[in-house]
Amino acid sequence: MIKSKPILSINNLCVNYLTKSSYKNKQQYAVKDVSFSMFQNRSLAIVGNSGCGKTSIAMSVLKLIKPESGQVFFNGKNIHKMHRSELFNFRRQVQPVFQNPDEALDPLMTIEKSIRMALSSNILKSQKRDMIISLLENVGLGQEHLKKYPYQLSGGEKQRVCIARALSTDPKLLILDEPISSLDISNQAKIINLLKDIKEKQNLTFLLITHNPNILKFLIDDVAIMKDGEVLEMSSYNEMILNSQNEFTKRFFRNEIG
Amino acid sequence: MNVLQLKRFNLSVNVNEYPVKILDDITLSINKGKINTIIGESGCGKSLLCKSILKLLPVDSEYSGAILFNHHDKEYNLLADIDLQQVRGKIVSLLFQNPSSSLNPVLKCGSQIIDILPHNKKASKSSKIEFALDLLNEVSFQNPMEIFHKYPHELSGGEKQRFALALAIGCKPSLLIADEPLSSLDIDLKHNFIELIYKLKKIRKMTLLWVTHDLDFAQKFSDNVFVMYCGNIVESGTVQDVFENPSHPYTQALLNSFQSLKKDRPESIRGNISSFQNLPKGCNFYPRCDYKKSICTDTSPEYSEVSHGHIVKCYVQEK
Repeated sequence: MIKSKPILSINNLCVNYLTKSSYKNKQQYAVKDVSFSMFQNRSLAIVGNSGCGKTSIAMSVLKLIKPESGQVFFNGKNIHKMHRSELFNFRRQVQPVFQNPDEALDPLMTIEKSIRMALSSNILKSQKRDMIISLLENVGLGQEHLKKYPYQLSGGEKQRVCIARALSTDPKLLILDEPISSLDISNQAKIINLLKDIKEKQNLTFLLITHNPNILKFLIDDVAIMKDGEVLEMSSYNEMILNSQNEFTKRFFRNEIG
Repeated sequence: MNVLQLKRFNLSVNVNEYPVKILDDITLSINKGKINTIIGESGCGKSLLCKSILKLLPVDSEYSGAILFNHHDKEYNLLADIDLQQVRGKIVSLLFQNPSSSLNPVLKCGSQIIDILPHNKKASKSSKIEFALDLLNEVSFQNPMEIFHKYPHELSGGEKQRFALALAIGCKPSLLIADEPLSSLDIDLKHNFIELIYKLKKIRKMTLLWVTHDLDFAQKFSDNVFVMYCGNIVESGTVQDVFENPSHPYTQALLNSFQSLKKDRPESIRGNISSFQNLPKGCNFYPRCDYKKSICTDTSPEYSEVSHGHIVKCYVQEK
């Protein structure tokens, strides 16, 4: 059997922050020697508690921070050795959706302008508006939202706009950093259904960062459990639910809060 | 015994120079020593209700009704012209959702605690430090002296929330209002924080008013539940009343959505919550309601009692 090439590979990634404290200075490893690969159509969730290094991995993959050591390969190319044009393409193919849509949307831009900024400059101006309408319809929003500002939308609607904007560059990999944690139950259900639908329709792969085990079964094929900057275990979601022997993993999936 | 009572409380705030009614005819009672939880979708007025109790309102807001508070067998109307500095933090305290934005970023944690110390001018420096370290110890900091010398940005999310809790309980309030304090915490931190709150509630005999959209928490830890929709309390009762016998169509839809997350396909509530500037005539929920009657589109329903203490604001439930 010929195994397909990974869409994303991370090799021995280490991320280190220097924390300058008024009490004492210390070097802190957020990610310690993490390696894994992701394949097309096999979505992966990185789960674990706050501060375990999940978001540092996402930031490294997005090339928003420079890791201390290790490599990140997207479609076989090291993202830290990409030329300008390659990097431009990479940024269009790997899109993030962040936890807090209020911080991800410019409060002074209408929804139309926010999405227009993300569309390629090669597209004709006359076509852009139709594309924006179609992107908004794709995430369940109508034309009436075009001229609205973020403050005029609900939390769930804002997150939909962020997803529409991420989809505007026709990405292959979506990095979802806690996409539902700031939403109420009804909006959580809406966003999960939306992500599930676009994943199937547009052949997308997700790298999901979460500390909420409830979202995994709807969107994810594989799971990596992280603790203190290290990957404790990684396997398919079903196998982990059934066979994990790790106490932390078991407790995580039981979603114990009391 | 009721610690807090809101009677026919209405609140309007100015949006673009037009008054917009946010809280409409809120009537509720908070029982002493209980955990009372307010649930509802984002943007239904939960946080503004909490702030109203401490009169932390926009300057041009208009309100009517009464907010009555019982403290040492005396009744205070918090909306009347009383010295709010004697109430805020001392009798009623508020714990905000996001500790990063509620803590002073340019003051060390120790100074922030000393600032809230009652009669702090008279106390000696060593007794102030002792008070701060005791308080930090009470909220389970293993190394209170280290926290005392740190700035808020040097604390982790869970530490910040515990530190904000220390500030909230520093003056021994009778009622602690917590506005979504768990939403930014992971499972382990949630677990620890809830344990801590339980311990403090028992030791200090506090009453809690908790705002959350985490229905799992509301079901496991509350004594009484209030369901809010578009500025109204649409249903209230004990946790068993609301979760086992939900009577308002909105509560039913909310719980259905909550249960569906444990199944194969999540179900959301049909439609979106109405904007406060564009509320429908009659019942606010009727555009999304599966059981609406013709009267629902015309006039807003009154509160009716389904069973003892189980109140619902809906025509469908009226006999």
